Amino acid sequence: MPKTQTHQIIINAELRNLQYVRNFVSSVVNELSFSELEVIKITIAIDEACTNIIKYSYKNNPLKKFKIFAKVIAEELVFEIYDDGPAFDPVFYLSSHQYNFPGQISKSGRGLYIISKFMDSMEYIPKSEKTPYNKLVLKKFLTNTNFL
Amino acid sequence: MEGQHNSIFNVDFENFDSEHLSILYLKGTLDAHTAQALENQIQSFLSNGIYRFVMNLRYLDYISSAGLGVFMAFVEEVRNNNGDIKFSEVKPNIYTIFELLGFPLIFDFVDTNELALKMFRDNQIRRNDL
Repeated sequence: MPKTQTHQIIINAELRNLQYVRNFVSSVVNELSFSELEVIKITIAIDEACTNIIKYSYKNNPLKKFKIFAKVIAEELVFEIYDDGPAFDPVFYLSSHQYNFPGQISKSGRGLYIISKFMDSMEYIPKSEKTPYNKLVLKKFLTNTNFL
Repeated sequence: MEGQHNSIFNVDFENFDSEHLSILYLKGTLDAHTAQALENQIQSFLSNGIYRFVMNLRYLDYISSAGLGVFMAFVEEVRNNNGDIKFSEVKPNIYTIFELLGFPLIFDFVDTNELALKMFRDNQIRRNDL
């Protein structure tokens, strides 16, 4: 992928569209020099983020839409995911929930935990009067080979 | 959304009625969309008194947290009924996902169905407090 190119996709909030999300992520990531395992980890992370939007933010309302941008900036693969549902800050959630044992991870927290482990950076900007969209930014360093 | 393909997932199974055991062959993509199908499948087994499961993941290509959650949802109930869930033939990349969430601490992962069956026949069943 040329390093200035931005890919984008708009998705209707239906769980069956997760395959479409994964296809989009694969098309972006496969152009970069990630290992097969890293590709899977990025794909799952974006899948989890979108699942949360569909299920919890939009409550499976197929009329609602969210948008994903993917671009490479300064050796980072950056995904920006925009939705206009109720704001939910995953960064705050993760910082306030400490897991010592997998059984402690709740159904809703499991996906967020995966995102935090599989991506290198997570930032959340809730919607406001100035910006009508929540923005989740997930980054993966192109040079990072931090296997589990 | 041209070119869109929905998630494909299906389950084949092999029953061992006298042992209240079933081997489930999970195939395709186990995500938030398809997890309900697996949940329904397992629930129907429980309704028929089957509490021992070998989940063969040889043909499972993808799993997300919703898929993982299905196993967590049932593990307590099956163990309370002298059963268990064991995994066999898990692909390395899929195993990595299980490993991240500490599933090997909770579940047995073995190379073959035969090994899983032997563990059941030897009554090697994990307890809920482990």
